[in-house]
Amino acid sequence: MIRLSQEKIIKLIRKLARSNYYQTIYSQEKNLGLKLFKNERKLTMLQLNFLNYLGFYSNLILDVAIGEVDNKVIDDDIYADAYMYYKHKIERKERFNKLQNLNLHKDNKVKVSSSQWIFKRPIKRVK
Amino acid sequence: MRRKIKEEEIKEIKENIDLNYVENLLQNNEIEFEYKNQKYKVRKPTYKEKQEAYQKRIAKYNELLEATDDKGKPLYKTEEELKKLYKKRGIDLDELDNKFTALEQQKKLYQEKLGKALKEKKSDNELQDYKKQIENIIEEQKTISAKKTLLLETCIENQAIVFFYNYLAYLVTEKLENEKWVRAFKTYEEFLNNDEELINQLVFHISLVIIPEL
Repeated sequence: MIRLSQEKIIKLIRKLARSNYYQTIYSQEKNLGLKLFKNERKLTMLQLNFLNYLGFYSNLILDVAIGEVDNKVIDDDIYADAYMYYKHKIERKERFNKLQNLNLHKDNKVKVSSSQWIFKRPIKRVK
Repeated sequence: MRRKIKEEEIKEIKENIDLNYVENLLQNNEIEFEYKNQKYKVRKPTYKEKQEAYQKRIAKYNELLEATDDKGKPLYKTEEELKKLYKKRGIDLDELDNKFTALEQQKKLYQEKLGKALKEKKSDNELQDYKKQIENIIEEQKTISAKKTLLLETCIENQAIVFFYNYLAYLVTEKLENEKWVRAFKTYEEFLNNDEELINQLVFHISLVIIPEL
């Protein structure tokens, strides 16, 4: 009987999630109606973890494809986690700066009349 | 001439067996396995079953809390009581928690450095240095977790959790009889009277199917 530690199971789930086979099913799930699991609802803890990792590796593989990072990050769990952690941190920082700039811009804006409609005088009818 | 199988090849074969096993676990929200020629199935508990187990857990917690010896002294200790006792003996569990949190912060710092180095496509030497630091931190965290688990194993809270998993295993385990899946154990007592190996397997599978926070 096989008995694996939770840590080992997570390691193997990650290996499956980054495989071509499951990445293809994940990306084509909606288009081709492919199913990942026999059950459609009531997911187990393991299935939820697997779904999370499918999304995680889908993002990572995309970054590798567009040359943002070397493909050595895919097979190394520590590299993968570190890169995604850094990426999300940068993205959060950028979003925060954008929001701050937007607020600053709002505060400096000159108040204008709330309505910008131009009403023309009705043309007088010639009797 | 027969070729000697290398250690690495054995490792690879084992890895593939384990990978197949995990892939099977993922296929469904029911896990089937065989023990001493008997087929068993552990399925995801229903809301009602979880509620039943939760109620039993509360009852167990209270029972352990109220249990006393002949002299009326409490038999078991809560987590807080155990922590105080350990502190008197020079083992500070809160300090261990703080150390774990500090290590987590340190790990995040190295992850950020490694992530940046990866993005900037720095040399392998630099990447390996950061990786080693992270690996050391993870190892240290594992040691702390194992130590804490061992020290608090007997506290009432932990005993109630173990009971909860056992009870769920008793509720949701089915066995194959005459081509039909039927409930494996009629009573909780019957469940407890089984081989320890089987109980461990069932509880292990329960931990894989249930989502603790729900």
